[in-house]
Amino acid sequence: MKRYKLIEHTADLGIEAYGSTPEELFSNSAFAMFDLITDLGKVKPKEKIEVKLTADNQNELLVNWLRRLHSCYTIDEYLFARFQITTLKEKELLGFAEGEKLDLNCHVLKKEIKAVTYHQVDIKNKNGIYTTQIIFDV
Amino acid sequence: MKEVWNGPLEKIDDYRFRIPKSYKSGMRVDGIIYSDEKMLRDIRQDKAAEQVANVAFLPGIVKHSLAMPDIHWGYGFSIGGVAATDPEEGGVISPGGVGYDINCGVRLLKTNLFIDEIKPRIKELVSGLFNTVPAGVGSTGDIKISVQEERALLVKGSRWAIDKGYGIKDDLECTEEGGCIEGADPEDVSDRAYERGKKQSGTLGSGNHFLEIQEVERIYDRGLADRFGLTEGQITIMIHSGSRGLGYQVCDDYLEAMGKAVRKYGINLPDRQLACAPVESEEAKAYISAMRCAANYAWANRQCLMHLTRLVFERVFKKSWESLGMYLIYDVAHNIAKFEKYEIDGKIKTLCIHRKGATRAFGPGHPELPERYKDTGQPVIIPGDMGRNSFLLTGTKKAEETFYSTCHGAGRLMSRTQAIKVCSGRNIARELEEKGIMVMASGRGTLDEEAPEAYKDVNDVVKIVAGAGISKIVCRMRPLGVIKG
Repeated sequence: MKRYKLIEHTADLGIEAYGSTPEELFSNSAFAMFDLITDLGKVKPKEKIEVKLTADNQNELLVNWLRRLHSCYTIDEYLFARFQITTLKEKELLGFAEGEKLDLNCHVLKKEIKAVTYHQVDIKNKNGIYTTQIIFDV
Repeated sequence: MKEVWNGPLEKIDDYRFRIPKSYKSGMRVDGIIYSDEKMLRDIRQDKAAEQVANVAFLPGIVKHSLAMPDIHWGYGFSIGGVAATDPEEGGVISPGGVGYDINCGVRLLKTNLFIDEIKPRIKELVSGLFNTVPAGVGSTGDIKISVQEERALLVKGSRWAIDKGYGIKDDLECTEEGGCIEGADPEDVSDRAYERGKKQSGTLGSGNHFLEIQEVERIYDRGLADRFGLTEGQITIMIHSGSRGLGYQVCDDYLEAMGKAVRKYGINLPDRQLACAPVESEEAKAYISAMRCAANYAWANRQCLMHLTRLVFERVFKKSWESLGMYLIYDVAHNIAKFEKYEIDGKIKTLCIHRKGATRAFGPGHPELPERYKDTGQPVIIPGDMGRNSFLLTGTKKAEETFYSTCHGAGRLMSRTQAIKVCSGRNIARELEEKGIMVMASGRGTLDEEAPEAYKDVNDVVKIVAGAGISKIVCRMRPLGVIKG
């Protein structure tokens, strides 16, 4: 199963993410975001951060999970390559991301993702595969 | 994956089409799209028109949910969307009606140089600008500021830059709001936004942001062009940039807060990205203040970018920028919410005007115009794609029907992925060079994504706003040299 694919959106960058479980959908979505930002083959899992979130529903949890990781990139300059969700309830998430500090001597920046939007996020189970679209503002 | 929109668009006249409020239950007013028949076919190619209908749900919306001809699909609001709400009638403010890049905008400066003087120096100028103006993914600037200084910048906007010596007082008069909007309290900006902002002042950014050397190619209104001191063959410079990471973070922070406000105030919305709060509420007040900080940041940023541009020209021509006549014509915001006075049903009301991918266009005589533009109307700067044209327009009295708003640019036609596909195997930089346009970009895919055919032809867009009478065309420019992020 593919982790994600690119989709068309007039102004920005969209993906459709997949997972055999909701947890896998969440980690594949984060993988997709960082795969667009950088060449993930060059990011080593040197450090691990914990993300704990609550939200009103799973769609918001997904956007907030991505927003949190995105702000670790934009503010603290971390790139992540591995993701794990250990708790995922309707309104609660506990997850981990592994990666390292951005180092322009070895990392390549591909795309500037400026924000993760709520636009069209709608988690569905299609024939046993969890999927949603996510649009990034670039 | 194209999603064609098949909803109702009733023809009002040659340039206006209505989405009746009967289209969707929950619409409080009609939607009106400024377009012509030809452009309408492009507009139907995505869901932007549905977003015009969705905006009509906003509590307190006045008259119509409007869209300019460069409309395309955004989040919540379409790009090219305009909506006025009345705070006295429970009117709301929506961060989605401003956009992520708060006070993304354009400034145009003139020079007393002509095409023959520029042509032999164009390579030197473009590479000089490229090396001096930080641009591209994750770019950080030479104009580094402390957190304390950043707070002053958020309050003072362009005035901060002038105090630093990055320009002159005259520049302020030629900037919307004088480059500084009152009511910006840095306390309403999160630490995250500060962090994103402090490294990036004086940087251009990536994506569609650019700095362009242009030639005035055609004069449409000689009288107005004379007033702006412009004639054919004269060189102008256009700068398109916004509030960088700081504005994005402000929007992101408040979209989350507004999501909660929607539930608190029981607002019925068809789209999460339209999250909003009544203008008079605490949530809205904090957003308005933070948005104004980001707007001031953007004005200071464009002022710094102009300063760097002047320095490059001084270096290349070995003359002061004053003797090169590099004076600012005007600077406009095209992603912002403003409070402006309008007469509605015989009463003067202060309305909250959202312009997302739309430009303010005050007509002649408007009290908020600086003295020098009282009789011309407000200069309106419309950038196009990097291969075709840009325009200088002015606002008109008739633009009151759009809350003195007009288009903001060409508007995208293709998605970025589609543009890359179309440009595959081509060398866009060389194609442009063959047309006499020298381009330098720092991003690998930027030139393909931003290829001219990815955009509507700005000539068609401008024809519609002029035809509808909401703007007047002064002159058209063509690019000679472009730097992109």
